[in-house]
Amino acid sequence: MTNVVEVKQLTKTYGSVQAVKGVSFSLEPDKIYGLLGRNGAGKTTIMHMLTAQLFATSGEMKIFGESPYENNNVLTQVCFIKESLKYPDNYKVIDVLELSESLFPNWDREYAYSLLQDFQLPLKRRIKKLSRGMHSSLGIIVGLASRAPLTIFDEPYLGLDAVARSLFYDRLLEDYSENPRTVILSTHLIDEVSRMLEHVIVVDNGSIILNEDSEELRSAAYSIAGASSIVEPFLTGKKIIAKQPFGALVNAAVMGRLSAEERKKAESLGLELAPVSLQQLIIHLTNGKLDAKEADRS
Amino acid sequence: MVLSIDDSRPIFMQIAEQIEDDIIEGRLPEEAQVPSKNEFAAYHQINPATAAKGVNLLVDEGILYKKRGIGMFVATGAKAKLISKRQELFFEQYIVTMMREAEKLGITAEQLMSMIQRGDASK
Amino acid sequence: MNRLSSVLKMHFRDKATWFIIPYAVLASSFLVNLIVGYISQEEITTGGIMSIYVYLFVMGITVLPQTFNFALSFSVRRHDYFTGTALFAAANSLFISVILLVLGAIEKATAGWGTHLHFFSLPYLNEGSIIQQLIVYFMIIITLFFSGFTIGSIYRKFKGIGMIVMAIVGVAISTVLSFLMTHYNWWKYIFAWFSDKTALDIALWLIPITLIYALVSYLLLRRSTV
Repeated sequence: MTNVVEVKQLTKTYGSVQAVKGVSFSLEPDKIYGLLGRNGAGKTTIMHMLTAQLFATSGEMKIFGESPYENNNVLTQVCFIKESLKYPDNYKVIDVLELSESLFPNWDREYAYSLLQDFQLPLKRRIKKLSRGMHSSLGIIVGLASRAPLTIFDEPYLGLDAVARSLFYDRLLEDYSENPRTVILSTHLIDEVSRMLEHVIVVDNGSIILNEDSEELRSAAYSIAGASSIVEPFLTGKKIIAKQPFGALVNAAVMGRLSAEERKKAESLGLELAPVSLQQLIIHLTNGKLDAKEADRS
Repeated sequence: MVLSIDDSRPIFMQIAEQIEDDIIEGRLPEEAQVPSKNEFAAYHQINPATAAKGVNLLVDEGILYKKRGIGMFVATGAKAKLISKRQELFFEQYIVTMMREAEKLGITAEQLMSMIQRGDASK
Repeated sequence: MNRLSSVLKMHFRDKATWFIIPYAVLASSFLVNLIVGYISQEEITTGGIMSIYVYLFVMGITVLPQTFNFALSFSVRRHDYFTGTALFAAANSLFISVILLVLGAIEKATAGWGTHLHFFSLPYLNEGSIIQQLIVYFMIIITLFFSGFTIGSIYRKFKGIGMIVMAIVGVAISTVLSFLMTHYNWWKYIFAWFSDKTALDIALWLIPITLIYALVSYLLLRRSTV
């Protein structure tokens, strides 16, 4: 099967500011992707370009094999739920559901109404009168019930409590199992979603700094702690992504895998080895970039 | 399934280990059906592909086998196979580590033996 | 699934904007005039009908911030958005025209609602056949809507800067034009041209103007982003 999304050297420039810098990636069908990164990293800009809501300054982009701009073949297969979505002032919840039904070919009305109950959303309430969390729930309901072959959620759960978020994850996985489709989840709550993701793309400062299967990433880095006099020689030649001194001790995060021999050696030296979680890894990687830039400036 | 997933190791390995534990401890008898990948996914809030990867790992090792159109089942002889594998691991993971720690604390092999006996008695 | 019908549906579901507020505006203006008519007991010719015209102009401006981003976010093409919105606005203009025509007829039949009030049916504008009157109403309404819509499109495409540039250019052009007209004494020709024309003639002249508005807003929206 061909890729759902194929992006080459995508760039978006605002005046002299490069929001997205020559980004290339592809998304395979029926996987759940995480588009992760700090706020302002360029995630939302990328998603807006994928859906032809913003124009790229340069680069190539194919969604379902075609350009998305003014293309109903593409757009009818895409549902993009974003945090900043604004509905017409007079709209009620029911108006959004009715309209969605006419816009998304795979819309499942019954499912939408069952989700409405799950999230306890009043059908006749005006959207302006919804709480922040209810507003987010409505977006989630549209995104799930659209069953769009490419469904994008950009920070979909502002104002939702942990219970409602968990409900979203449950429903997403359930429905994805029954109706596989390509999903992009963009969020900064990496810990919460990381285990649902099959593949992770990390954007920092307009560039992709990581593009890998999330299971690979789970063992992509380790942390090592101990007396700095012992740790330091051990670290030579390794790719250090973070280092934190603590008195005579040091705690370092290192990219890569330890061979069984190295592991034994480290243990016999009395060094503490621990895995680095996806969230920690991303924090290390995105912080590192910032530090490097600040170092350049000074 | 009582264990929960942690975020520091590949999840598919944790899924495989949990199924192994269930087989060793008898919660999943031989020839019993194993939950589907979607059930694992829903239960642990993990990606179904990841769950499938964990299950397939055990299929490759001959612990589980697939009945077409029905699902995954525990192979006959799986328990014995797993126990011998785990015993090997036990030595690697616990005994070697224990000896190293004992050395650090100045515990002799004899002292260690008596500690083990004491532990056995208070079990 | 027809995208165009979805856009029509999108507007249709906004009942307050299209089907309640314009008539509420008109009704309140009418009521005030009617009361004044009863109290004064004089024959009154009023421009109160302007209230709904002004509302349609404002709507032309506001329909874009209300629905353009929303429609694009819900996977609607710009082309379908424009076509659907233009069609809906045209149908709505026709609908309002018919209502105004009917109310105008009632006004005439009841000798100005019993108090000689000329609100819906006005001299000059309501001369000619029913079809001619309908065209006059329709063209006034749709031209106002699309002039607002064009302003909204300029804002959509160029944001605040666009509005400032448009205002400056607008003022500059009108200043130069009025200077030229005064200098060369063109005003009298223009007044002569207008005085020559019936309301229908002028309404027909609004057709190309509206088409230009529509074309300009279409081209702008095709390049607009959220």
